[in-house]
Amino acid sequence: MKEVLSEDEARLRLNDPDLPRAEAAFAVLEPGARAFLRSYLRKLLPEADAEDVAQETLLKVWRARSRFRDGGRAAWLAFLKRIADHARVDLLRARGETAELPPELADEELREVDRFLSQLVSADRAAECLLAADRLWLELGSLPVEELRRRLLAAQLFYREGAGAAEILDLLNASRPGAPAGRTELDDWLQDPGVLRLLCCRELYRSGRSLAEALLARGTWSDAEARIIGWRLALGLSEEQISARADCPLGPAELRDLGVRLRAALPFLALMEELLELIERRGRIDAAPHLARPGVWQRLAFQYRYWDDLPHRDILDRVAPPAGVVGYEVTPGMLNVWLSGGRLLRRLARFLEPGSETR
Amino acid sequence: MTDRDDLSFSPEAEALVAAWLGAHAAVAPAEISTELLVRYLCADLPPETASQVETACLGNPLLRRRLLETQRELHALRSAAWAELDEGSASQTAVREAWMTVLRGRLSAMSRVRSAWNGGWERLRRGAATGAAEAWTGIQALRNALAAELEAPARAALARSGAAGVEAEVEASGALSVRAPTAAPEGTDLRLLVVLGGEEWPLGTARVAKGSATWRFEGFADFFGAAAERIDPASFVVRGTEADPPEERRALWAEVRGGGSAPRRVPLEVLGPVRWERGFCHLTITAEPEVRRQVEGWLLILELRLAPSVAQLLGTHLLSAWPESGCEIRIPCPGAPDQLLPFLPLLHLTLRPPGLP
Repeated sequence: MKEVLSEDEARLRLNDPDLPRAEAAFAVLEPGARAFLRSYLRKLLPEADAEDVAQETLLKVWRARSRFRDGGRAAWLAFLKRIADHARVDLLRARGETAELPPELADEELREVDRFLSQLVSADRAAECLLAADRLWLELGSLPVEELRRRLLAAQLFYREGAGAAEILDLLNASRPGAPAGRTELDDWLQDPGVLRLLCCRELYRSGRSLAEALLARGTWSDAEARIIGWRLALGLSEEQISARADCPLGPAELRDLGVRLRAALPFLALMEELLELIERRGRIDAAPHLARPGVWQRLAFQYRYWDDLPHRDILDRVAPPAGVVGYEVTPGMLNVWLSGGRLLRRLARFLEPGSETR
Repeated sequence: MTDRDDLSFSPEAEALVAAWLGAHAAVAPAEISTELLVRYLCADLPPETASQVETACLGNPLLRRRLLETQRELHALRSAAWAELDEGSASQTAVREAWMTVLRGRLSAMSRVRSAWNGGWERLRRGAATGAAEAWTGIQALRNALAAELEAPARAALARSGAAGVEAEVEASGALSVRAPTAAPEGTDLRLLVVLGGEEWPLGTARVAKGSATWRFEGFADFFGAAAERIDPASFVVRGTEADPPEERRALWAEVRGGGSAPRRVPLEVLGPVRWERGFCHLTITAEPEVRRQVEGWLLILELRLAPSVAQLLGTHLLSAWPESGCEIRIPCPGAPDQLLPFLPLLHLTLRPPGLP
């Protein structure tokens, strides 16, 4: 029977002198390593280059496997990153560009990162990590995850999809135990400030790809502009990165003009207004005071920073206008304080630590 | 804030974590089939798969709309007679197939429902926790019976033969505690049963000590809610551990719709087992002469209620000729596995005059 290795076991066996054992270990690690490298390199290089460097890095990792000493997940990622940094710098220097190798991480910091990643892994990766972020910033109390999920689903069905209360009760009662006992309890769910904050975050968050698709579907853009919108939003490239591309079809002035129009076309302010109106009409409550809390906007900033890897300026474009609708001001300075030095990440790490009082 | 909160990641460490998070965020959401949606709506999925469906719905407005649409289609299918389930629009095909799979699965599990109850409450509760269909169907049978009793006309409960002096209480933890005085010798094992309409639900066994026996059933109210507190003490029956012969005549409340001043519920008797055989559901019912006269020429609507979300209209029967010996009813259920109905309250009967919608 074929042995099934965990990632932890695979890292330990990667430098095994027995080739088949090392190959089996690498086969386990390779998909995660490729995803990590793509995620890391996509902001540092154009898409095709990032793919080439990721591929080359994987080959070099295999050849250099005897040098790897397993010190946990972070040590493995640092190993991948180091080899990728070398490959990237080599590529750029070969083209005559100046490029410096970033400093290596100190062992102590690697241990800190490893502890944090271990907590995220035990929180069942990305989806659960976002739920933990919800708990931390949206003041959701200590409700079990399952009930939180159902409360949010009920709110989405009621406010966004227009489902009736009876329909939602039927759906929730049918599907799982622990559902609301009747209309009164469902109303409590739907008007709960924490659920409204959760709903707000889910409704306001747009991935770069879905944002690009929505804007391209409803705007009148030239082909060149559409191409740049794809780079800007779906690939998350900055205006400077786009401007530096040899295949950029627009000049600097046109790019600046497109940037202004694109910013004006972002839907976040309208989404917030629409959501407030829906909550008031269907739930007969003013949600604005519940949403004018820093946690809501920190939660969104966290996701845009670490899920979409957006720069501060782009995050501000997504967060400040809707926050203003509910009477909360997000300034560039505030955003800088929230995001500098991975402060939000650290707060989540602290929150995820076993025994955390706030968890 | 503590000192540790003020520590920050270096840009390199932050880049490492951000790339790791970005790699995990890029994982495509699970594909949710119509079959999964139907099974979710029927509470027929293990908890972790149900969570996946919910998570996928949270991030996908189109999927939420599909979920609502599937629920509406499912509702329409449940309200159609079993024999008509083959008809329907093309969009209903996938929902119908998934629904029929769930329904047949629940019918097949019915043969295990009696033995699930015979193991007592604790075993049944453990079975329910693992999602065993027979455990849930068994619990639903008692839920249906208790609900019918609570809605029945005052002081008109179905036949009861409860033990005298029984005290029952639902504790704050949700456990049901029952104490009964007894003349049985010290150390004797006694069974406690809930008996309603001739149907028996064996809850568990306790040993006689100092002239009484005390039973405690954990988590009882979690499954029966407020009905657990309203079980009439006269419904509790104490017996020795010997097996009982099955009841030949069992009673069931039928809901009455229309009919002017007629009572909202009337008792009917079911003679012998209710069974599915060669694609038909068979049962024989009788009633007091007064009831028979009142509903002569009415329609009897038969519905199977195996869970809050797993119910199916079987069909209707015109009560045109109802001999005293019993009215034999035969409802077409094409594709249904041959099976016996383990508990009568899984069947819901409705009487209504013809012409009433």
